[in-house]
Amino acid sequence: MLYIDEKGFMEFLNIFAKKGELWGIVDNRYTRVHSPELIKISDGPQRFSPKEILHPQDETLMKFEKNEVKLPLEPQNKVIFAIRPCDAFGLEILAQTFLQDPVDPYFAKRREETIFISLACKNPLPTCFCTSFDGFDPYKRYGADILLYKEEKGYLVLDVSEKGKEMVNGWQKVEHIYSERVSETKRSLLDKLNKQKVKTENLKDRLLSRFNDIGFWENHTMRCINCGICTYLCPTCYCFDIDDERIKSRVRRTRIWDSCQFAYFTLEASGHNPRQHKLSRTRQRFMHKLSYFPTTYKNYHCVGCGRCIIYCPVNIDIREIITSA
Amino acid sequence: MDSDGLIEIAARLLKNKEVDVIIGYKNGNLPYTTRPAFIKAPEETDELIFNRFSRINLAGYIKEFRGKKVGIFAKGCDARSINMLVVEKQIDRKSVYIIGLPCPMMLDNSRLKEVFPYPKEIDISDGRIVLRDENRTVELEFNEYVDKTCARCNHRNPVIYDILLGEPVVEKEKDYDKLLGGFLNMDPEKRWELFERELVKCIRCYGCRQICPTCYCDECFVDCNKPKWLDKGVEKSDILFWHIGRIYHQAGRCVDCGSCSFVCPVGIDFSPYLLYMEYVVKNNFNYEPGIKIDEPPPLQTFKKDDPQEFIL
Repeated sequence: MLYIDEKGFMEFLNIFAKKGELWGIVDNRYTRVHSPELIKISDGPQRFSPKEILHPQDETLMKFEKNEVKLPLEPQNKVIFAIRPCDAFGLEILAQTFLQDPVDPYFAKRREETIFISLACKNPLPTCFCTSFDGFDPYKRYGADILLYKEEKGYLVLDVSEKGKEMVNGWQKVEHIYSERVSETKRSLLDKLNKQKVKTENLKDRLLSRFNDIGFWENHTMRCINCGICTYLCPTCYCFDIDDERIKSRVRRTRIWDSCQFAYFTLEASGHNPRQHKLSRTRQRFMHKLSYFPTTYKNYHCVGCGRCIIYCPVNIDIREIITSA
Repeated sequence: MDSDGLIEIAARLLKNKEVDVIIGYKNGNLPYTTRPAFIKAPEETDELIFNRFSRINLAGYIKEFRGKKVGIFAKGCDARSINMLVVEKQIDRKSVYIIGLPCPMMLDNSRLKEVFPYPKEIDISDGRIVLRDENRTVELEFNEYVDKTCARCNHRNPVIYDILLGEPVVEKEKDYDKLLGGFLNMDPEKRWELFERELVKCIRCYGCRQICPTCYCDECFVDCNKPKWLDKGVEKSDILFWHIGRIYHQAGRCVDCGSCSFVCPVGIDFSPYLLYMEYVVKNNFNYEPGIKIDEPPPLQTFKKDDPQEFIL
């Protein structure tokens, strides 16, 4: 097992900070930081997910000027400290969509040039329900490159990808004693998480059978205000719109986050809107995550991070929909 | 707070078919939250509550029940919003039964969350808030954790109602000089700087618009693409244009319920700008939104002697 002390780790991060490549959570959001000391990590998932690092809210796809087309695929080298294992799993889920054939070159490039450092959880928030999804292990690396465990005065490497191996090369090899401690923390974390589990057996079919049950959807989502908070903070929601912005003779083609909660999301050129009513829009979000997506890809489109629960202004709770479907 | 009276009146209204639905609040499943409730059967009224986390302005939900008779809980701000919707002909006063509730002032959930994120128990009595879990107890002064919108409110008693539950509370005047002190004396460049710094955080989730009872346009200018008024991304100019547009549209219409700042996921405080609009309208037209049911906002009327000193 590899280990690095606090001071060594700060020096390690500083190398990237100096090159302008270090990103971390400042004011609840992933931001470029010039010093690792600015990064504040609290228990559980942070307010914003690392989704926006690979799939930014507003991404220039190309520029046109006169007869010239420019593809702005600039180098994206970034080191992210830190994401949580549920978010790392979220990155894998995002990749299922963006990296399937035909591969999205923008996402692929960002993915390639970013190093994600994941930090194993010790204390869950009361809204965490990650272990509800089959096989999720909060001590697995998933889409991250390095999985660290915070020791009292340093960090242990629990797992590392091929890409990450080189980076941790010089770190100190340590004794077995640490792994005992890690297992103990993991056991107590799992104890807590398993108490917060929700039933996901047959979920995709259970939910599908509720499709036309207006009473069910009214009961759970009538209070929805159809804002985009849940979809924008979600680590796996990836829907976007493409827009051309013109300033005189220059045009920027951009990809922008969009949300199934917005009425304009499905408005067709004819004027017809297949999801005209609020309930059909809120229903779509849950159906996509918990029924349609697992029909195509096996896994659910939710990692149980609980952000949509915490930040919903009217207290809509996906766990209630999962349990009562 | 005593919810018995509320439940009784709600059950009676539903039983006598005086209303088809009651729009109120029920308990949330996280600390410091309630959730809007839509109760259609008398036997379900037990769930109804009204407490210091009944923060969301409910008036915007009325329009979702077109053609139905609606009973609604209304604090001071909800009642003013209902009035505003009647004045602007969005709802029919006769189809709404207003259960007026003098407002005990809401608590600032985000600040409480910072102090004690997940308490198991919350007791509020005698001007103190006691938060508790297995490991610790925290005691706070009620007044220090009142939501700042509520702390400055000058219309805590509903201005319109069909029944009033509870005793009216003592209200105070709004001291605009104090509330807007810094802002009023700021030169335009400084104001712009503040506006830009605060609003640029926006992620365009439209939570502010969606929760606002007065933001009811079928097609919001920000969504309109024929003509396209602004781009959809997070370029600074687009974000600022969007918020300037929304804030100006609120002139003489915003009742200062603070719901927009409350729902904002990035913590934008809209109050200096909305409050400033309120101040300008009040000073020049002696008009306060949502107070009278037969007086349209100044920007929707024209009088020969309208003041124009403020026009640049």
